[in-house]
Amino acid sequence: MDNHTKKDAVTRGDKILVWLTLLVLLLGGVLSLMVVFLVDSVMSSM
Amino acid sequence: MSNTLESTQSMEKRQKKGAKVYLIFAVVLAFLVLILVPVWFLLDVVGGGHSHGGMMMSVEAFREKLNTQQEAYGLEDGSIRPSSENMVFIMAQQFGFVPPVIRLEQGKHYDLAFYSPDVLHGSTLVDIGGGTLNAVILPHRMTTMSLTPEETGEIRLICNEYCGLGHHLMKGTIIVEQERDPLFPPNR
Amino acid sequence: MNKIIDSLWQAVNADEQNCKLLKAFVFTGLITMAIGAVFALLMLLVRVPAFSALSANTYYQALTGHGIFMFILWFSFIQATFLIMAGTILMKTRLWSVALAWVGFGLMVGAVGFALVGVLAGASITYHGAIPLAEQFSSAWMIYLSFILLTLGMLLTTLDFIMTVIHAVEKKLSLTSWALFFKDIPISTFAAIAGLFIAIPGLVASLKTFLPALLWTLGWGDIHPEMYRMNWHVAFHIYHYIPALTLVGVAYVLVELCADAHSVYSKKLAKGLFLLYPLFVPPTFLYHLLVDPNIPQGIKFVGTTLSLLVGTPTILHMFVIVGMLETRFKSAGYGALGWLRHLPWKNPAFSSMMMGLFTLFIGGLLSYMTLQQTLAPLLHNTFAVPAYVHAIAAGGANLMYMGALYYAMPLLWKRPLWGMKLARIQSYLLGFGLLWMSIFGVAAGLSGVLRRYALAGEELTDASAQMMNLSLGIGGTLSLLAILLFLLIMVMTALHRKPQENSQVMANLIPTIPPATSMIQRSPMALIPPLLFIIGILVMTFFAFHWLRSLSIYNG
Repeated sequence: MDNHTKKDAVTRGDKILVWLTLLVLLLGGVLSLMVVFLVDSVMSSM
Repeated sequence: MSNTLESTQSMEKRQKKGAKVYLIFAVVLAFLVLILVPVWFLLDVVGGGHSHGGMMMSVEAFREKLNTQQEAYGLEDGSIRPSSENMVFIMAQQFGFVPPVIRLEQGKHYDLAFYSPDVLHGSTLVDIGGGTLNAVILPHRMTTMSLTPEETGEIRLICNEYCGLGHHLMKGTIIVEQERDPLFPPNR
Repeated sequence: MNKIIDSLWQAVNADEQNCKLLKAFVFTGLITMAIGAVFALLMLLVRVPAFSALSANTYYQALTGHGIFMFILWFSFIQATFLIMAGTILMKTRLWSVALAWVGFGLMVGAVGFALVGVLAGASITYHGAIPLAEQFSSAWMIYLSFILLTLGMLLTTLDFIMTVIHAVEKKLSLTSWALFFKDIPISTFAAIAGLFIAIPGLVASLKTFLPALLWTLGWGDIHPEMYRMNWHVAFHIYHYIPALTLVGVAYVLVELCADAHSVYSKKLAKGLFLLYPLFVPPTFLYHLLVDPNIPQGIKFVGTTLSLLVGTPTILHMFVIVGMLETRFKSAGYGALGWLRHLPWKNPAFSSMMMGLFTLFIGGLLSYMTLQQTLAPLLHNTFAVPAYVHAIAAGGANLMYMGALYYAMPLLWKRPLWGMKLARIQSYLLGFGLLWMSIFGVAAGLSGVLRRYALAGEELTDASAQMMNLSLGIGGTLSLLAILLFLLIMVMTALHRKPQENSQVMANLIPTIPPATSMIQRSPMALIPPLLFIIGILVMTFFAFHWLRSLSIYNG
């Protein structure tokens, strides 16, 4: 685990990781849901 | 004392900088997998693909095509010798190919159209010297494989998709014949 | 006593309930692996030309069982174990609800039961469960039901993990709170969180695939074979990338445990890299369907191009992980190459990890051939496919998981690892066996041997029969021996002594690495694997196209 004396210091990088995770949650989530649910309609139109 | 501390610190700095350079190299390498795309263009293989087609068709319609083909090109030994002008229709079914033996002429271009009336199958052409070309045959849909046989001999035809307990029994033969071979069985 | 091991020991002992749960998951997982191994033996007896025993029916039954038990069930149980570990022991927290996890476990055990009965009753539909083939097997519904139970069980376990994570964050809506949490958790726990973004869509896709299939086998509703095929491949594609991500997460734990190595780059980097998987994985499912006739060429081209990127996050992780070892050992004073010799090769967990990385590398190289659209017809459904998959999955993922179990078993059962000397051989034996099987298997595939095919001898040319004798006869047999050895070590560890109440049971697994004396942060050697990988795929691609064009039946 990280050094405990520095534990409370949250840097900008740490916050960026949270934003990135959120972004991937939205992007990846939307992407996969599209793949999972739109495959049918794309298929039936072909 | 302070001198050594300083030198350790500067060394640490240099080390960190070096580490970053290696990381950048690694990132470049990891994305270099995309180099295969220009390689495809270089080798002129873009858009190639052995199987195509994909038309849906009813079983009756395909049977009719098979019958017409049999009447026009069927031989006495049960094989067919189709013309390269037309598509060659092959029914892939549990557990065999119809017609089971197909005679093709060396050097001519053929389009083999496979069709499954029942379950998922696959078509594997086993080259004379080994090596295969494979395609998927979806139920009720045509799969076309283009073929210009360059050597005479037997190309084995096998189902490559597990299609039931008799899967391994499902096979056919393509005989590649030389032009005007006197040993041909005569056309009907 | 080692600090990390000590803290793990305490974390395991702090929560007896959790320990019991984990033991249940591991134990059932090992049972599924044992069953999968029996099926593997049966398959081997059919497919090795020198043996050619047993009937085709038995082969297709064993084929179905082997795939389901090894690839689906064993991986699900062990990955669920790691998920719970990442959310409890590694994070030093308690599970949000032990009861919920037990319900999940129960459903998954149900899945094992239905799968076993289904296979034994003759539902030889492989894990594809292709439609409409399945209607010809009266017990096919049991396989679909098994998959649905498994999915539900994993959903509950995953939900439990998500709640545990949310529970562990102090202020749910504070950015700083989350940033602090993400900073504090180990890389592997973050990997598990990133994995959720592919696990959940995968589980949803699985339900969407198998629920209609189950209803259809029971006579309710209709189902389109091509829809099922597409859905199945989406679900399967996502599912088989969970090991890809998990094995990397496990590797981060293992390098720290076995080699006391830490990344010279910030942990944020390693964590951030895991976020690439959810971006790169879902859109690439198309590479399984490259020889399907009903997908337009343009879409296939986009699919195959995107697929090239699926290896990128793993390549970067490998650079970081190998770099961790390199800098740690160079800091201890070993030279430019000398550090390699001084790695803890005799630690079974470490050797398991390294063999896992090695087989993953070779399997990865081979996988880059099948995902190229114009090469796919050459390899599709030939024996080359299971051959490389065994290097990646039975090698890469499986060996990594075994490495983790070499620590997890003594920790959970509180007994020292039994058979240290056997354990030392085991990982090398499995790695070697799988590589042998894989390389000769690809050669067999190229020469015309098909996968999932009940005939061995009469169909083959002499050359390809020899390849199969080498691949499965030698490689397969050695791998199977190594699996049995592993199971023996695990079972004996759990049984052979009374549990002990102090961390001395871990004594023979503590790394003895000399302390770092200088500060080396550069890892030039770690660049070699990615470099070799790029060179490797280029060379192999050129070779493959050459081979393709040399076929007398190839047609532009």
